Amino acid sequence: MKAVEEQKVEEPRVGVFICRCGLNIAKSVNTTALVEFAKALPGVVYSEENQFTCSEDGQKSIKEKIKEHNINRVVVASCSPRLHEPTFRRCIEEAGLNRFLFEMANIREQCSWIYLGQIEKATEKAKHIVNGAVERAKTLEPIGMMRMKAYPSVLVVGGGPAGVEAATRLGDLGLEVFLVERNPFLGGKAMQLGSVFPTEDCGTCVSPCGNDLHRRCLYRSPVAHHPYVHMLTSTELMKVDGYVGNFNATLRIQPRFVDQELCMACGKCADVCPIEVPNEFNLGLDKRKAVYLPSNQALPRTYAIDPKSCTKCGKCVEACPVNAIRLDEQPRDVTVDVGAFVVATGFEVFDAKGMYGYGEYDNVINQLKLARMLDMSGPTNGKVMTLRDGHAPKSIAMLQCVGSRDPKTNVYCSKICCAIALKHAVSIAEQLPDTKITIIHKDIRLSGKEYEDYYYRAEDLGIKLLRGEVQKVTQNDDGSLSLNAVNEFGDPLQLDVDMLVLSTGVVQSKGTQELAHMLGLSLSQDQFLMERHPKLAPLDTAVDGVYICGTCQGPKDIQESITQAQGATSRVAALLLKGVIEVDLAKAQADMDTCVGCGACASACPYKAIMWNAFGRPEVIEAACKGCGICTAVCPVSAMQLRHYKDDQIIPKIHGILAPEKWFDEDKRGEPVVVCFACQWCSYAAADAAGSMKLEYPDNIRIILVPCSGRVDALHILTAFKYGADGVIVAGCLPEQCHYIDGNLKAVDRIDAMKKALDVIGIGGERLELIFAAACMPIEFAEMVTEFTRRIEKLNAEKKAQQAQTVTVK
Amino acid sequence: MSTFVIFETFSGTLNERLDIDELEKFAKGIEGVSTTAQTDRLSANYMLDKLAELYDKGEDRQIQSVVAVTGSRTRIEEPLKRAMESAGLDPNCLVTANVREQCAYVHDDRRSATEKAKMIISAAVEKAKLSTPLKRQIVQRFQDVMIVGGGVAGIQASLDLADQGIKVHLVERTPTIGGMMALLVKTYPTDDCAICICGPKMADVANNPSIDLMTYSEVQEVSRVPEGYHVKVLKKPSYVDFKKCVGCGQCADKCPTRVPDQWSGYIGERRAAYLPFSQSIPRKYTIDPENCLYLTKGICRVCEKVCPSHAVDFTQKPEIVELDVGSVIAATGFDNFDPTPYPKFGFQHEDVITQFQMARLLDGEGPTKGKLKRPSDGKRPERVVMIQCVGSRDPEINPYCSRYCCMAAIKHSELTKIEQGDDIDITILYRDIRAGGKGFEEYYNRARDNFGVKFVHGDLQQVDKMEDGTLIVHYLNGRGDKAELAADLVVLSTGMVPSEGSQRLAKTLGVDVDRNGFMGEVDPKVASVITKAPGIYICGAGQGPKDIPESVVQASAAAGMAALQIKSHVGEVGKPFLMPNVEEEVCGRCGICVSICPYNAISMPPKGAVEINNELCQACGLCISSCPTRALENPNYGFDLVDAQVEAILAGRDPSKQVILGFCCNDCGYNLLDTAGINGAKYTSAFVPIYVPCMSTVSMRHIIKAVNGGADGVMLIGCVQDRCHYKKGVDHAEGQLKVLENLYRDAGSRVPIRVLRSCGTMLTQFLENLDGLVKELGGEER
Repeated sequence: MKAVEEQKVEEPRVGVFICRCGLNIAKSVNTTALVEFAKALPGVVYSEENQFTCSEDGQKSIKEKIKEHNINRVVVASCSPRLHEPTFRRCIEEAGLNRFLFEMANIREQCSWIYLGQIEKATEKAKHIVNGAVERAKTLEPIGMMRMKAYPSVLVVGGGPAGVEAATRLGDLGLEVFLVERNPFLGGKAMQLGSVFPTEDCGTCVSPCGNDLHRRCLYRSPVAHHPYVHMLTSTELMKVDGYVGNFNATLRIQPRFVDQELCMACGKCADVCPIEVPNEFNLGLDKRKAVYLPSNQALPRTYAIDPKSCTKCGKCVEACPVNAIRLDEQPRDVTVDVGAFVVATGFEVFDAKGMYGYGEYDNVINQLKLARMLDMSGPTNGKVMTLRDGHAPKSIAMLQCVGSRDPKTNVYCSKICCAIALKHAVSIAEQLPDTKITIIHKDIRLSGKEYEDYYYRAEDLGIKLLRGEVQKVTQNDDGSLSLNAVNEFGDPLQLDVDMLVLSTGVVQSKGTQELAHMLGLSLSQDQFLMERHPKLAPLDTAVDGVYICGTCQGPKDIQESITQAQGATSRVAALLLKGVIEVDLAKAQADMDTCVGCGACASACPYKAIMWNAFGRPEVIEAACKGCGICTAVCPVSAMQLRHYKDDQIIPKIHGILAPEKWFDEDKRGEPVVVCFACQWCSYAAADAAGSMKLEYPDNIRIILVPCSGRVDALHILTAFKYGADGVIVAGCLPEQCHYIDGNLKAVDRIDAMKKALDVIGIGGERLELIFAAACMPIEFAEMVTEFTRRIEKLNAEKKAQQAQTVTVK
Repeated sequence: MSTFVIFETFSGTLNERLDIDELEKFAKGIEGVSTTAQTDRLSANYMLDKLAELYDKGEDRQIQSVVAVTGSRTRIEEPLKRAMESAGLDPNCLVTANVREQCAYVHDDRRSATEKAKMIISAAVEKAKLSTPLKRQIVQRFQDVMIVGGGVAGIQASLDLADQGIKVHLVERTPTIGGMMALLVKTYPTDDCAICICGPKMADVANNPSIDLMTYSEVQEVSRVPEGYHVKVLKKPSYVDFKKCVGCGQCADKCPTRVPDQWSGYIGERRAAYLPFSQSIPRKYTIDPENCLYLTKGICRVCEKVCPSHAVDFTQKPEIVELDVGSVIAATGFDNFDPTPYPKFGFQHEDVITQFQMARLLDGEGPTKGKLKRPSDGKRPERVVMIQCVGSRDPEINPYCSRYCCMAAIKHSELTKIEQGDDIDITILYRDIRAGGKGFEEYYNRARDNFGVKFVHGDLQQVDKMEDGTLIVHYLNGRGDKAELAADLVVLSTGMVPSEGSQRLAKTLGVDVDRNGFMGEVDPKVASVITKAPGIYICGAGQGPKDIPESVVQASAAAGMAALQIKSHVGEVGKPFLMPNVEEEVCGRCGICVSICPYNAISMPPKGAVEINNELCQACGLCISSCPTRALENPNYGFDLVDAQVEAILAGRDPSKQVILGFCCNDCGYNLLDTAGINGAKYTSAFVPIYVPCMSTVSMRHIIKAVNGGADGVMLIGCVQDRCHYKKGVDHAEGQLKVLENLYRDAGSRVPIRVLRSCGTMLTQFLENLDGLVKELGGEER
């Protein structure tokens, strides 16, 4: 580990570059006026506007102007730092400046997009934002990087098609791979699908097709014998420590109760096992024993004992010819060091219980169960039958969008159900030509190469596509079903069918939330894992070194999942194959002269990154520090500081963004001014999303980016009030989803205390609020800040009235 | 040279169903078998130890091949192959004989199962005896990658590879990178402006020292060499010296020639000296030789005079640049469907435009500076109708769905409502709204519920223009009734078609073109970026319609595959030579093999016999089984081993018992029989399997040999329709069968032969078919 030498910077000379962003900013903000404004600010030596500052021209101009005007601090007023901060940091670096001498003023998501066409308002707010950025820029210091070795290993979470693909490819690249699957068998949902669209071969035929152009059945997959891949089934990720290139993961291997080395899958154990339970692999269409293989294609092909149903009677132990059964096996924890994570945890099928008679009537099933019936080696040998009496159904209805595209359940489209329904309808029509099949849908969505063929095939086979909705399903005495439906014009119609198949949608897999928390990932609005940027970085996440692929990121089909897995391989390769990674040193730092040695910082640090040295003073372990700043906020004497977010780098910004004395006219001041400290992970992202959705919220919300809500200390809040804020919001991630373990919970305590203090000093605790907004909650964010502003308005009005009264009394 | 046969007894459990001792004795008696052994549990270590023991004790130093008589190869084959390598033997000389799932488990009678196992073992031993060490090719690939197409997919792939430290040559046909994306105003569903996302990536490409950017260039020739590809790229003259041009634009300002501007959808104009759009990368001007007055008529040269840096250079000539690359990524993107030839869309009317033109009209940098104006009179339209599926989902034009048009229409409707005024009435005439992507449905709901965009379900009939200029859109509604919509501006959501020249490029690269004209992948499910040409990958809309996030993901995938390709084969054991030998004197140059090879691996030189490229060859055997003069042979693999196995099996048969030979492909066929075993299905022990790489390997010759040798029936088990792992296997099998049936019929006899198109799970079909065959033969049901 070696710190790069940090350059010293003299008197600040700030250059301000205002972006018009085509019309995105220029339509609402008078950028020319903003340039003039910026030029007049103390410390600013140069300002200009550009059509697109992020373009090559814009960047070239920045580099030229840095040289020409000897600029040593750069402010770009454009979009969100979440979008282009890396771009500009790289740009100034190329011009010879340290990358931390850069500040971004977000005048698009937080300004022009909220006040579309309201030039005066938007320009005014933009001035505040730019002023805040300039004030902060003047205080910025160069920060170096440290280089360290990265483990040439990867942990792949999830053993479905995406996980297997990623693991195999990464192994081929020579990286050591830990493929972790929490079920005893690999393959995920793909194994259950029977045949899959559009190729209509088996769903298990998804093993990587390498340079020999030869795709294989999963159970013949090279992953099972790959020299670089450790296949860990019945294993769960318990804990993750460390950071990019140097993660340490704790895995819990649940007992399989069967020794994988010894078991030869003769099946004698299952023969003698007295316990029979419904086979979940076949959705209860048949039974399995407590010691079982779920299907013929199972990988690994060694038996597993299901501890929930096993009574430990010991018959299998006696029957096993190789003594492979270990009924006393215990869970064990192992730790592995990995350089990166690939998350491929897949999806769950929406549970339609209680809808359309599902779970109540025998002949209402979902598409997955139908898939099990249609599987040639499945429980019914490929025959479709009504579950009530086992006859071939004479009429079948399929209902689309169950649990998708429905405000009551999930708003999003599950993307794969239309193709599944059509594929199943086509194969039933081929098997039972006389069976009438109706698909009731909102839109037929086939989105893939050659998927459209199903549409034409369905037409040829006489499958009826009915655009409409089902309102009620009732069961008749013979088990058949009556559907009350409406067509697209709202005309009521009745359908009598033997069988109703619900096309249930895709939902996040169990444990996604916990996994996200463990790795520090965010969830999007639809509760799937959020990518860093849908177009710039669809496979990366907000956490360096963690990549996502497959349906954990959102509904998608096998082909897309596998392509994503291949893409994730490329991202991991770019990170790890160099062997060395660079991490910036924007970490906490203690001032030994001021420190009183109270130890608050060390006990507050969520990562145990603060050690106590021999002199009774704290020492930050830079590699372990994640830069949350929680220690800074708890230090009673401000001796602990987070570099790049020091108190004297935040306070000038608060001042600047409020800065009443320069242009602020008390009379014009209609709405109260609110300062919002937003954490860089969720709340700031929510505000950005509110901007891109063009949600309007009160214009005097001034947002200040902080690493974590736990970084905001009393000083910042008081400073905001001191410089004229009417209210202060501290915004953090949802309670259980802090990206620094519990920074937001620490904020809860602090804000409570501050409220009381504000009451005491006469400002009033009601003027301070802590809100939680996940990145996927732009609407809620806008609502919360609007509501708060209303409250402040009311308080202001009351105060005014009170003051008036006081005057009258006098 | 001798063969070593190991028996795995599965801790004695297999003995219950098979007489292993008898089998071992039988194996010992086969000529060429020197040593046999029995073990409870076969493992790589056991085999290594055993081989070492035999060698050390000097008992058997002649072993060349090993037959493992065991269960399914799934568990054991790979580890054993690796053990063979460690023992200094060739992994090709390992043969596994599955007497468990495919014999012991499926027959109840121990006696007949043992008899069948003998046949399986004798076939395996014959195969092992003929298998010899393979030659291997070890090459160091060229370490550069060429990417064709500078749209968002090509850009992403370039950046991904450059990040890994790989040198990239990015070849773009037009004078700028950025592709379609750079011109799309905003991108759904986040409404990020397109150039704000694309621009910085373009700048990254320009500034990355690992990327050699070659704009205004075309791939002219690609030839395959063992190390990768030798490529000739044509650099077209831009008549501007890039080293001198500062991008000031004086040349364009003074250029007297105005031509319709393709970069603004032909709405605006550009000069003959031009920069495609203001964010172009590189920011250098180009002189269009088709329109420049000097280059066409020899007059003018104004640009040359006004250029302050003397960058204009009319002496430039086309230049050929030669590259050696280890891998190629084709990211050729798409063109917008041209509705001109179809009058029903009304594109002949001035106020009917495409979504691409709409994007340009809404763009602040576009021809109208972001003001929505009708082309005919420049007025702001009050009523806009958008028509979906223009040139898509229409069997008479393009049957496929173009995937992005629904969302593009919604995006442009929203933008119009937000930026041009929400009083503009917008109706989208659609067949199905396809908003299947992250955040898409929410975007659609917002357009409908918050912005008041109207959505009408119907099928377009005709767009007409009234005398007053009003456009009437005739359509059939959901009931099939006639209805119409009036509009001031009609926007056609035109679909995607493969970009111009991409098919020619595909041919140059040896990549398939699918039936819709897009580049073809080797497998639509598991390998959407891999083509059958080794080292050539595809991504983006050139592979099929897709949106930006999908293109970006595919680009990363293609980059990953390309990196794997150039990094593998380095210092490792390379691909073995599995291709057939060509006997020069026998080859009649008929060209059948050349035309049927699914991998274009065979070429016909001007003189002499055909030539086979080992890298392309996947050893399916189709050429051997189709060669009329038997000039092709593969003595240690596939085709030629089949005869020996047939002979071995039939030699050991009991003439009083039925024998049905099952030629099974190594993929679905093998898996199917494994499935039967695991499921505990029972079938006749007359069925004896022989494994071939693919149905392509099986020729009439093998079948006739089987029949003449005394087989009562023959069954060919390949993969399902269109899903042969080697493309043409089952079709070939059925073709052979037809010919045979005719032959036998003419000869007055009939031999029961069945072809089963099955995948590994179609157990029922297999059992039914086999039953049918047994009945036909007059035997008993299982």
